[in-house]
Parts: sequence; structure tokens; C-alpha cells
Amino acid sequence: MKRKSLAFGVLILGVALGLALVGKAESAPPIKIGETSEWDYIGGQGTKRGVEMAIREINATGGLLGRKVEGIYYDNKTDPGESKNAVERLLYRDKVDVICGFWRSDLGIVAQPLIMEAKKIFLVGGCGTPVITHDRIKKDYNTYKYTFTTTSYLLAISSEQGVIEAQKLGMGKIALLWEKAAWCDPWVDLWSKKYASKIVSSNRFSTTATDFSVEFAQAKAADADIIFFGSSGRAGTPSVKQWFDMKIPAVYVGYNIDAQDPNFAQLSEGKCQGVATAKVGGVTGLAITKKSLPYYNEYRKVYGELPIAYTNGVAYDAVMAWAHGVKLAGTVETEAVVKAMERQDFNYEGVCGVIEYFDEVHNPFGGGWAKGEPWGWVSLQWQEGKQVIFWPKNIKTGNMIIPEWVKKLRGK
Amino acid sequence: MREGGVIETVFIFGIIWTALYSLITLGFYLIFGVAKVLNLTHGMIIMSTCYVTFLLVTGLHWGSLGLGLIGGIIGTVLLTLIIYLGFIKKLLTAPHTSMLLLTAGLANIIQQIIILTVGPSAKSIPSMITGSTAILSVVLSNQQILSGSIAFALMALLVLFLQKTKIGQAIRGVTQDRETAVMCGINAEEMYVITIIIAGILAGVAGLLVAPIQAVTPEIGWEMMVTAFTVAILAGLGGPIWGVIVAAAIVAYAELVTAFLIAPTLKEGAAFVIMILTLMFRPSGLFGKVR
Amino acid sequence: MIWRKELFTFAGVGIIFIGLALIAPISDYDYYLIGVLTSACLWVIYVVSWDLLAGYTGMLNFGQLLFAGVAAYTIALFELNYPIPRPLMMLAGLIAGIGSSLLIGLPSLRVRSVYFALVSFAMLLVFSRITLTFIWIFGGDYGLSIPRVYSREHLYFTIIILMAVTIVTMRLVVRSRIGMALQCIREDEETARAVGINVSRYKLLACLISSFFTSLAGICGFYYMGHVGPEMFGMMGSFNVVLMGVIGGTGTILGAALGGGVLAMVLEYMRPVAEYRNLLYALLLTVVVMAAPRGVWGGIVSYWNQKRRIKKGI
Repeated sequence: MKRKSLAFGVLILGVALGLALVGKAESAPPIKIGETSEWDYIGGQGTKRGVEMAIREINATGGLLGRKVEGIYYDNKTDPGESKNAVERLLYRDKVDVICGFWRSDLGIVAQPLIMEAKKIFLVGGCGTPVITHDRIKKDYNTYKYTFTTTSYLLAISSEQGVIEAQKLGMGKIALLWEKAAWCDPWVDLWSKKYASKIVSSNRFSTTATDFSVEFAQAKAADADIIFFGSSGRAGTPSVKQWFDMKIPAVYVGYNIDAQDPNFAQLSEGKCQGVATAKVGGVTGLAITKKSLPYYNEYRKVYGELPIAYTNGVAYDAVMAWAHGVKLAGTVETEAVVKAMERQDFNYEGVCGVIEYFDEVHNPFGGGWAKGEPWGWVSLQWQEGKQVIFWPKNIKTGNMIIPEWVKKLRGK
Repeated sequence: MREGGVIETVFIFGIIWTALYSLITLGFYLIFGVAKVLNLTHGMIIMSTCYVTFLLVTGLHWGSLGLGLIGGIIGTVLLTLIIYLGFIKKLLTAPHTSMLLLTAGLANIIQQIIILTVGPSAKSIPSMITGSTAILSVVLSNQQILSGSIAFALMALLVLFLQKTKIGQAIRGVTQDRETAVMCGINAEEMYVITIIIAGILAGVAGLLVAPIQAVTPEIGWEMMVTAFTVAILAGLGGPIWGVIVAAAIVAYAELVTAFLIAPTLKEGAAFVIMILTLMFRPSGLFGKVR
Repeated sequence: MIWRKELFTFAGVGIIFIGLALIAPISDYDYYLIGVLTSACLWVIYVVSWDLLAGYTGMLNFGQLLFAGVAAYTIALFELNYPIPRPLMMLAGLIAGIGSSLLIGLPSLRVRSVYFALVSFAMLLVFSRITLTFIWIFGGDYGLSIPRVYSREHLYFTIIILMAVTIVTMRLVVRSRIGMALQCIREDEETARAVGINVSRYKLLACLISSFFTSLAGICGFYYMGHVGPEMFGMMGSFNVVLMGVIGGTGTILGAALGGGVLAMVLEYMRPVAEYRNLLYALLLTVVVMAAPRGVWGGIVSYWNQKRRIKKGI
């Protein structure tokens, strides 16, 4: 009898100890990742979902450094004042360990100094402006070194590839048709000089414009055979429909957000044949890396739809790369993680590509993109209702073509 | 680059936009003429037609565009009636500023509901007709020609209606002098409701004609409202219908010329400047009565 | 004499001011809290200045932030291009802001209040287009940014002092002859003119006073954010001012302060349902306009007065 009660007592003690130990492990505070972006737009929504997916992934595989990861999300209502409040709340109220966010460059630019001031790492969630990394880190490394991005500031180069390919196919008269916005201004200036002898028509339109009849008419009158179109807003679908309806005998290349959407063939009423745009390859449903497809499929399971904006990919990679840095450093402590992320042997395989290392302005490099090329970005063209990647060389799935109706009109 | 075709291009496109701007403005103009109400929900009503059509069309097969259009117009008329009967009517005796605030508030409510239900990203409505035609060596998409033609046709019908039919004449009577019209036995209240319905139809059709030409986003509501009241004020509230067409032409051409000779991003600014100048120097507009 | 009547206001403002001043050290300088309170105070200043024009003079201004934006951009341009001593920069900003009020003030002399609302709105949009077009000067959609100049604490205390001064000054103004003249103008311009009030002069005066405080707030706002952008000339911001004023209660200054303060704070605490915020505001506006045109404050005051009357046996 005594032995039985003794055994029973030991059992209880054992269970209690076990529970206590387990409880203790659970009670290590979770690592907090703060997210804020423009939820009103699919770009900002993509940032949020990218972060959500990354956190799910980390927690599903045992957490980070044995601790659970918690995400805190705020909408910044596409307003600088709100962004400031959101960031300050994350930093000083929620006391997060790292912030990932911002798709709109203008908001990222305003919010960045606040995060730097607090000496926390800022993972750029989609801003494509060189100001945040290239300009600021170069000018003042010590203040801005806590910023890392997976959205290359060179992304505009991938939209230029369409022009380069078109020239290889025998075209040579460019109609430059880009929106008037701060992010692309320096690029448009660059291109105006670089292609000066080939540009036959040039127009900058307002970011809310949706009617390009006059601009297209001008291009046609100048006999342009390349329409180099750039819009980060709502001009994507209307411009393609107009290009097709007005039968402008030119290839349509450049940067078109709607053309990144997997449903674009339907959106454009099938008029998208031959439209080329730039996109982050990792979220096109093609196997850029061995993580691309699993992510793509998992995303569809979780959200019931395919990822549309590129931010879904780059935000995910940003957080996962940071997590990789944390593991390398063995701590969440900011200075150590920064050092870890700056390692030349960083070698992290993401969804959008392989990050061999972050360069001196904390932009990713490697895995099929050479120095000076926009990591993660591909140039694709719609062919027979599918997105075909034609650049960069190591990743392409096909070649750029000229749509039949354009060929006929040009008498080829 | 200035190619020889710019003048013809501006001329031809100006005609199309004159027609469309006139149509967008007319509903607003009529409601003001009859009920003396500056209905700031007008732009949103046009926008909601686009969204209703979008919802109907995306749910159904391509060929049901026609159904979508009709559904859109019916929805618009209902919405206009609800806004008038449920809200505006209650404040007819309040100062004008209250009406402005009320309609502005209602407009925002409509916009927010649309953002929350359909989402803020741009939507697209299929064109009713494809292909393009050249007029005076200017290439237009057939949709644009169609939109412009329907707009003109509808306006011609409206003018005929107002001139020739008894109801039309009654409406004109109430616009010009309500007291006298009532004394002559016209039921002003009935006229209001009929005008509301007509305004709703005009707004609905305007929305459908413009939507295939441009993207449908929650911002176009206020953008169209600004266009409508610029044209309305330039024409002069309380004036004749053809005044609206003239004013629309001025605004449309001013915008096109600004876009091509000054800067494309200032295109929308042209309308604002016209509005300010009109309000400052000729508040009764070109053809309106002095208020 | 006026001072005695305004005792209530002075006491109230004083208490709030002391409270705000103490919150900073008590919360151990919690940057988040200070940030929220700072922007709430700025909103209060905007709405209170707006009330002078809209509530008292009957000039419904849909573009109040125009003045703040012009002042802020002016300072930003100086900071980035011509680094003259700061006090001079601020003076320049102030002059620019007040000057911009003439852009809507002068046209308003000739048109009715309804049209004034449209002009003020249109003027905002014109400026918005200008900042977006001339990117090399105004930074386009990126706006203009500067590194931190003043510490948060410094700005916080400056702004709460400014808020207190604004409310008190406005109350004194509306209680004075100026205020009475403005209210006459609001009620019936023709009669006011007939009685000998120089309507034009008073309208312009109202514009100047309103834009004075709004510009100061705009300048502080610029240093607080370290940034100014085309959103300053956007519809949303200025419409929010109108919203806060109408819901709080026009024509009382205190109602405006209430509207500004409470709604700005609600902004922050409604984070979980942030998506519905704009809808909620629009609904509130509609309800207030239809059912309670005197706003929340007006409603409270009426209730209070009614109770007093009942007590007195009237």
C-alpha cells in the first residue's frame, strides 16, 4: 500500500514538474514583429499577408530561438500622420523587436527615421525608392544601417528589359509614356537621355489619368513601334484596352501593375496578348526557387486566392531573411542581427530568389541576378493567356514575341 | 513632340468629352433647377452605377452585359429616390450649407460602403463595342464614339422632352418660377420626384458610358462631382440646357489644351481654375439667373 | 467684464492644459502617447480656427488645411534650400499661410457662403495639383522631408501652449465686438451691411485670424512630422476638420475644440476597427446635420440650459 502511494506520489510529482518545465518554456516572451502598410491597396495588403505567412511558417517550424513569434498589424491608411502614429505605437506601446512594412515609398521615407531613431531593424515591405536604402545608407551609415530591403531599388531596370528585347526584335521608335511620380522621375530622366535618339514621342501623365487616347494618337502619328508605358496606379487595364482598341501598331512594354495580376487576361478582355511588364518572379506560380511553389500553393490555401501584388513575396522574404539573421546571430538583439545580416556568407534562399548577401546599401544580391540588376524582379510577357518570363537569362521560360496583330499592321 | 495631328486630335476628343461631361452634369443641373438643391451625392451616384454594373457583370457571363447595364440604371434610380425622399427632402428648409454638409456626408457614406464591400482596387468594365475608327485622321476607339453618340442622343431627347411634352414644360415652369407654377396648378412635389428619376437615369447612363473608357475606383465619385459642378456653375444654375453643353465644351477643351500645351498633370487643375474664376467673377455663370 | 464671463472657458482650458503638461513626465515620456496627444492638439487648433470662419461668420470652409499646408511648404522650402535663421523662416511661413487665406478670402467677398465652400475646396485641389506637378521644387508625391530639428518634448509643450492660447484668444474674439459683427454677417449679410458693418473688412479679418493660428499649427505640425506632402492639400484632411467641427458643434469654439480633441483621440483608439472609421464619421456627420445641427456641444449646452430653466421654474 505504502509503495503504491509512493509511486503515485512520484508520478504526480513527475507530471507536475513536467508541466512546470513546459510552462516555463511557454512563458518565454514571444518575439514581436510589427507590420504597418496601406491596407486599402493590394500592394499594402500584400505586405501584410507576406508578413502573416512568414510568421505562420516560423511558428509552424518551432518558433525562432525557441520562442513563439507574434505579429502586430496596423493599417497606416496611406497617410503620413497615421503612419507615424502606427510606427510609434509599435515601437513604444507594443515594443516590437522589428518592423516590416510600407509599400508606398513616400510613406516609407517618412517613417524610416522614426524606426532608426529607436534603433530597431526596419524591413522594407515593398518600397522601390532608392532614397530609403541607397541614398540614406550611403550618406549616413550609422543612423540608417538598421534598414534592410528585399525590394531592389533597381526594379525599374526590369521594366526596361521590354524595350531592350523589342529593339533586338527590330523595333526602334520609342513612345515614352510614364506617369509623373517621384519614384520613377529619376529613371525617366535617365531613359530620356539614354534613348534620346530613339524616342519619337514622350508624355508624362497624372497618376490618376485613365484616358490615353490623345497620347496614343500622338505615338501612332509619330510611327512609334514601342510603347514604353509605366504606371503604378490604375492606368494599367484602361491603357491596354485602349492600345488594343485603337490598334496602335507598337509593342506594349514597361511597368503595368494590373498586368502583374494573374487574372489580367480576363480583366483586359483578352486584349493583353503581347503586353510585357515587370514583376517579382517569386509570386508568379513559377519555380524561381524551390520555395516559390510551396509558398504559392500554401498562400492559395490560406487566403483562397492567388497572390497578386509583388509585396506578397518580398515581405515574406524580408521577414524570413531577418529570421535567418536572428538564427545566425543567436539573439534578437538589434546590433548583433545587423552584423549577421551583413555577413558575406549570409546565403538565404527565399521565395523570390536566393540572397547570397546584402550589399553595402543593404539590398539583396545573388541567385541569378548580377550586380546592378534588380534582385527578385523578372520581365514577363503575356502570351496565350499565360505569363512568360523572358528576363533574366538564368530564369527565363521563353522569349519575347510581337503580337500577331501588331506584326500585321506593321506589314511584317 | 508636336505632330501635325494634335489640333485635330484635341478637336475630336473634345467633342466626345463635351458630350460626356454634359451628360454627367445634367442630372445635377436639373435637380438644382427644380428643387434648388446642390446635390453633392451626384458624383457618387454615377460611380455606384459603375460598381453595380461591375458586380452584376462579373458574376454573370459576358453576354449579360446588357442585363448589367439595365440593372445598374435601375439601381441608380432607386438610390437617387432614397437619397431624395429619405434625406434631402427633410432638409429643404434648412440653410444651404446644411444641405451641402448632408449631401457630402451621404456621398462619403456611399463611398465608404463601396470601399468596404468591393474593395479599393481598380475594377474594369468590358467595352460594349471593340475596334477603332478614324475620323479626320484621328483614331478613336469605337467605344468612345459610341459613348459620345449616346450622350448626344440622350441630351437631344431630354431637350425635346422638356420643350414638347406637358411634363417637361411643367418642370421648366417649376424651374423658372415655382410659386407661379404652383398657382397654375402644377404639383411641384410631383415634378421634383419625376426630375429625380430623370436625373437618376441620366446619372446612371453617364456612369455606364464613362466606365468602359476608364478604370472604376472609389475616387472617381468625387472627381466626377468636381467636373459636374464646374460645368454646372460655369453654365449658370437655373439656365437653359444648351448652356450646359457650351460650358462642358469649354471645360473639356480647356483640359485638353492644358494637357497638351502646359503639362499633363495640370489637366485636372484646369477645371478647378475655371470653377474658381467663375465663382469670383461671374457667380451666376454664363447663362444663369442672378442669385 | 468679458473675462468674468469667460471664467468657465479659462478654468476648463487651464485644467486641460495642466493635465496635458503633466501627462508627459507622468507617463515617463511615452513617445507614443505624446505623439497621439500632439496630433490631437493640432487638430483642435485647426478645428477651432475653422469654427471662427464657419460657425461665426458663416463661411463654410472646406479647405482649412490650405493655410497650414502653404505655411508648412514655405518653411520646408527654406529649410532645404535657404537656411536662414529659424525665426525668420517661421515668420515667412506665417506670412505665406496668412497670405494664402486671401486666396479664398477675396473671392468670398463677392459670393454667397455656399459658393465659398466650393471655392475653398477648389483652391485646395489647385495647390495639390501644383505640388504634384512641379516635382523638382515640391517633391511631388514624396513631399519634402527634413531630419528632426526639435525634440518631441519641446514640440509637445509648444503645441499644448499654442492650443491653450488659440482657444482662449478665439473665445475672447468671439465675445468681443468683432465676434458680434461676424455673427451678424452670418445671419444676414444685407442687414449687416445696412446697419453699417463693413462686411468685407470683417470677413477678411476672420480669414486672417483663422489662418494665423492654422498656419502656426501647420508650422508646428511640419516640425513634428519632419515632413510635408500633397496630402496636406488633400480632401480628406480638410474634410475631417469640417466633420470634427460640425459634430462637435459649430459656433461655440468650445464645441469645435471638443470635436477636434475627441475625434482625434477616437482615431487612435479605434485602431482595431480602423477600416470602419471613415464610415462612422460620415454617418455621424449625417446624423448630426439632420437631427442635431448644433452638434454634440450644442446639444449639451441646450440640455444644460433646459435643466436650468426647469429649475428656475420657467
